[in-house]
Amino acid sequence: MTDAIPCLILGGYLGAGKTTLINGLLSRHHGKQITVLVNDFGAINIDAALINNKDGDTLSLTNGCACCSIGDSLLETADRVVRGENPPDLLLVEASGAAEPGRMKQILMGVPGLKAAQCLTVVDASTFQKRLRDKFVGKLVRAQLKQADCLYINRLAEGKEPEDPVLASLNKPRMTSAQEVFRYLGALGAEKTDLSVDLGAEKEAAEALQTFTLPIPADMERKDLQAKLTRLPTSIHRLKGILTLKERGADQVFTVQGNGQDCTFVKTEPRNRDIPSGLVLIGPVSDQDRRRITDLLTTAQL
Amino acid sequence: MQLAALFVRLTRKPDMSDITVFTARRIHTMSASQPHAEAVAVRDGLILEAGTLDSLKPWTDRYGATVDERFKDKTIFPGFVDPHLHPSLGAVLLPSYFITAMEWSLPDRKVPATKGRDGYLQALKEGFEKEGASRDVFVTWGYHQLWHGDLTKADLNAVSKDHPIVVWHRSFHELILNDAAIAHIGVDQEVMERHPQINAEIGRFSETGAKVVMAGLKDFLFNPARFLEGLQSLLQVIHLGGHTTVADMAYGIFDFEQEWMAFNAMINRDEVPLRVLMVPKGLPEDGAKESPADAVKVIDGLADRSNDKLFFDRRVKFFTDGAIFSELMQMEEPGYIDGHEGEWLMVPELFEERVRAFWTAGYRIHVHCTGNLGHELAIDVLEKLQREHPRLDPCYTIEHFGVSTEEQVQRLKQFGGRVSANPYYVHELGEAYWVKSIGFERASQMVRLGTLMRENVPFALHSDFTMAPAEPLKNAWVAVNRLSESGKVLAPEEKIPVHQAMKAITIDAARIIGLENSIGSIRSGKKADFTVLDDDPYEVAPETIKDITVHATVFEGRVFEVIKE
Repeated sequence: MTDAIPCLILGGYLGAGKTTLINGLLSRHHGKQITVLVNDFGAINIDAALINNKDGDTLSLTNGCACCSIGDSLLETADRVVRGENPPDLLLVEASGAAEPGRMKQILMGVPGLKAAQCLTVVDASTFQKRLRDKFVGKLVRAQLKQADCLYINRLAEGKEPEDPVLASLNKPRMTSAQEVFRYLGALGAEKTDLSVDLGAEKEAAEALQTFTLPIPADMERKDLQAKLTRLPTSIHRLKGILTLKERGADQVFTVQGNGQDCTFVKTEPRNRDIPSGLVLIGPVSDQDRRRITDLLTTAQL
Repeated sequence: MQLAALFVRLTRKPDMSDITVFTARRIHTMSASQPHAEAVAVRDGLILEAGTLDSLKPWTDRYGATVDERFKDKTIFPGFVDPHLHPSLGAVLLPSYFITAMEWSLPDRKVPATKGRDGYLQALKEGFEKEGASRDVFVTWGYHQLWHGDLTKADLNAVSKDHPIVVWHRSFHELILNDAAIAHIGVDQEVMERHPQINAEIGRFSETGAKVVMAGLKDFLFNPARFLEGLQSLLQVIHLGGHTTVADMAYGIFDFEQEWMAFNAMINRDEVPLRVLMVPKGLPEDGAKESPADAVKVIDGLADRSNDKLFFDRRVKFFTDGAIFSELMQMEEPGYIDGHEGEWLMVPELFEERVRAFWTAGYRIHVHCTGNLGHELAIDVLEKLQREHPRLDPCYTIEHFGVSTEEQVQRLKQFGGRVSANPYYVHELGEAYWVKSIGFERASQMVRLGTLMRENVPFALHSDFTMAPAEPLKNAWVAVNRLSESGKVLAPEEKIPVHQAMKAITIDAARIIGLENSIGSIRSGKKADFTVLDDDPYEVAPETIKDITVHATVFEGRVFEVIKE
């Protein structure tokens, strides 16, 4: 299969730093659609403004990424994602702390349309030597290192790699910063999408990106808002929100998403309290633009 | 006489029923204060008292009684208790066709021991001719290469080219499929070819490859009609074994709600002579999605649905290491002969964190342990929790008790732990694991019940059905004799006396699940639950205890005869 989806297992023992990496990755503004399968949904901590939709075990984000709970079958969950309407550019699978990545690789072999998975094991430099000596998990932690294709050495003291005979004996590519990991992930998806996004280099761009939420007056007419949105600067990449607006004089709730030029309004059941009110706008806008947009959207007048 | 009857009517509370007195050749009460009786008086589902017809007179003279002599040649025990089995696994497995290396007695069939490749293929052919056509997929369970030799797709294709045949391995971790079954499930061609644990040529799907088949068979295996059929047969299995109380020792193994609906429909009925203690798994969501406190709340919430037949008692089930039948128990040095490693079913820190939350909430904890490193973890956590938050109640039970050490038993005793053991491992796995897995010393000493007795640690026996037959007498037989599959005695020092074994399937089993005040022995005030045997285990040759047949059970005073073919 030429368009098989690349897959990376994020391995490592409990507390190694896998979730932090996932939170960082999901919160970035890159052009890649990454779906992350996680064990512990509750640990995923994403700015509410970035959340497009939460449907049971799936969280969809405004940057095109998604996060799903693995549930009781990795095989079936991965299969569902790959067969889904909108398959990702890259599937990232978080291993449970007890998992041996080698076994997970084999399970994922049972998913048609998925490339043979690679494994990146996250190592907590500050604790892993203690873990290696632990009578219960020493062998497991060693297996997680051995079965990895590459390692991310996390929490280095003063940036220095630990001099450890176990690590030294493993001749595997190593990364020592989240930036490097993001860059590596960017390259993994590139074959499929021709989008060689350097997720690591995105940092500068991401700083210029702004995400801000504007309260939209409830007495605004839907058609007025729609007209206003067409006047937004093109630097607004994306907007979304669940808004109460006037439709021919009556209150009506809408899910709004798209960008200024191309935006959909879908009638929706009254809002779920978890979702912030107001319109979320994302884009590299200047302060001046931002003031202009605020004036435009927060007053009912055209 | 008429006057006496009138007197009875006038003095009795209007809602009281008649007294029935059951007589027997011998009643083993399992009460140390009065071990034997000849008659037992029952009213309203409760035992009035046990003794002799003469000693029961204060009751029978006053109220009259029906003397039921149908068991006069039989031996009566308290109703057998299995403190650890899995009704849901049984329900999924039982509708399959059994071809097994060991004998299995099922209500609708007596499964003979089938050994050797030729014997297996012959049994498969016969089974398919009998039942193949009536099932969309012919699933047979029990194959094991140690006893049945190598089996390939070609062998199955020779039985049928067009009808799907699935051979499910004894360990549940491997499957062999014929071409029709592979096509029926629709296994992706590319996956067939590239998967390291699928051998496309011989049609074998093992471990992670087996998951591909199980995902494809899910709709078939978990079809509600099939599940209810399986549950019905499970209830017959349980009755045939002589049980009147069992514990579901991981309720929610598939799904809390669906299991509850099926159980409630099938078990919460007057004509079912069984009550089930529900012990939920302590991780309500796979992958520990909730916080520990939320997990406790979820489990707390389940108790509201208790009824007389299916009830909760603030008990919860956890797991340390992998399955013994898959050789995935965690072993201390020197480990396995072939050098492979076992697995943790939960990260040790996570295990500790979750157990702590239930411990401090006052729950009683049951921990699945198979290897000696698994036991070490469970006992380490027990010690830690006792130091942090001491508890005097019997609140920590090791489940299965596969491979352990004497020192672990001593430490378990020190910190107030108990054991619910599966002795069947000794019989089925003892010899195979001696030769191929962990060597003689550790394999022969699996399930060291003699050590438990020496250290005075309370223990019960369980079947973990479907891991072992749900036949308490067979388990008692293993515990007493420690005979391996080929008849060798494994670690005679770990044998236990008949009386200890019979206690371990009655009063001590009740104690392990906290029901000793209402069941487990025949004494005044307990439920009138009895198991009626055709012979007396104390009198027969110990090596024939497993052959004693269950004649009937009595559940809360009502007789339920075992229908024999």
